[in-house]
Amino acid sequence: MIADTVGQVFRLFPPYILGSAVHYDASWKDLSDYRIATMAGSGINLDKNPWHYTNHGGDFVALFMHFVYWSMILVALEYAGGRKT
Amino acid sequence: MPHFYSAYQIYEANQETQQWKFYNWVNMTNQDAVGLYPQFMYEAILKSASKNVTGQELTFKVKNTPFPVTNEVRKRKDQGNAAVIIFMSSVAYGMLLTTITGHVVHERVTGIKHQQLISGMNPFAYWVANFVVDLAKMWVTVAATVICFYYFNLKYHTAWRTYIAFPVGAIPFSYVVSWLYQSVSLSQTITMFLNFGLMLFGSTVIFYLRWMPE
Repeated sequence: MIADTVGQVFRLFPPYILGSAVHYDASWKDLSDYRIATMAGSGINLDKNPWHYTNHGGDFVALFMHFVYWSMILVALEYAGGRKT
Repeated sequence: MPHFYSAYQIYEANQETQQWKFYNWVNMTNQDAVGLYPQFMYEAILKSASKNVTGQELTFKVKNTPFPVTNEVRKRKDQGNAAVIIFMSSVAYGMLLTTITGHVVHERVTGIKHQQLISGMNPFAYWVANFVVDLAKMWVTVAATVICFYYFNLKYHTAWRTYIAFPVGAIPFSYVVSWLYQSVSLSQTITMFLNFGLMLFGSTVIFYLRWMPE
C-alpha cells in the first residue's frame, strides 16, 4: 500500500512513469499472483488482464495530464507574468 | 549430443578385477549434459561388467526428464531484462530530453528567442513548433524501441503504449523546468541526472517496495 501510494506521488514526474511501466509489464502476472496469494498488507489486488485499465490506464492518463498541466503552466509563464525573453 | 559438451578420462578399466574408474568433465552450459554423459559411461561399464559374468548383452536404458524452468528463474530473467531495458531507456531518453532542454535554454539565454519575439513571432507558435519538432524527434527513438521489443520478442503487453505516450507528457514538463536554468550546461546536467535518476532508480525502488509486505 505504501509503495502504491508513493508510486502515485512519483507519477508527478514523467520519467518515473516510463521506468515504472517497464517494471510492471515485466512482472504484472507474478505481482498479481503474489498480491492475491499472500494478502500481504493492504495493497490492492491487481487484475490478471494486462489490458485492464487499472494495470496500465494510470500511466497513460498521467502522461496526458502532464501534457495538459505543463502546457498550461507554459502558457501562464509566457502570457501571465513570465519573462518575455 | 556433440562431444564438446563433455570429456572422459578412464584411468582404470580392468575386467579381471572388475574395476572401472574414470573422470568425467561436463560443460555446464548445457543443462542436459550433466545428466546424460555420466549415464553414458555407467551404461558402458555395466554392459562390459555384466557381459563378463552372464555372457549376455545387458540392456539398460534410462530416461532423463529435467524439470522445466522454474517460475522463480523465469521471473528473475524477466526482471533482469526489464532492468537492462530501463537502464538503456533512461540513458537514451534522458539524453534526448537533455538536448531538448538545452536547445530551449540556449535560445533563451543567448537572446535568440527574444530576437524572434521582438520580430513579431507569436510565443504560442514558438512553443507549438518546438513541441512538434521535439515530438517527432522522440518518436523516432520510440519507434526504434518498440520495434526492438517486437523483434527481440520481449512480450511487453502494454509498456509500448507508455513509450509512445511518454514524449507527450515529458516534453512540456522539460519546457517548464527549463525556465529554472540560467545556463545551458547546468540545464543539461540537471536534466540528465533528473531523468536518469527518476527513470532508473525511482521506478526500481518503488518496484521492489511493491513486493514487500507491510
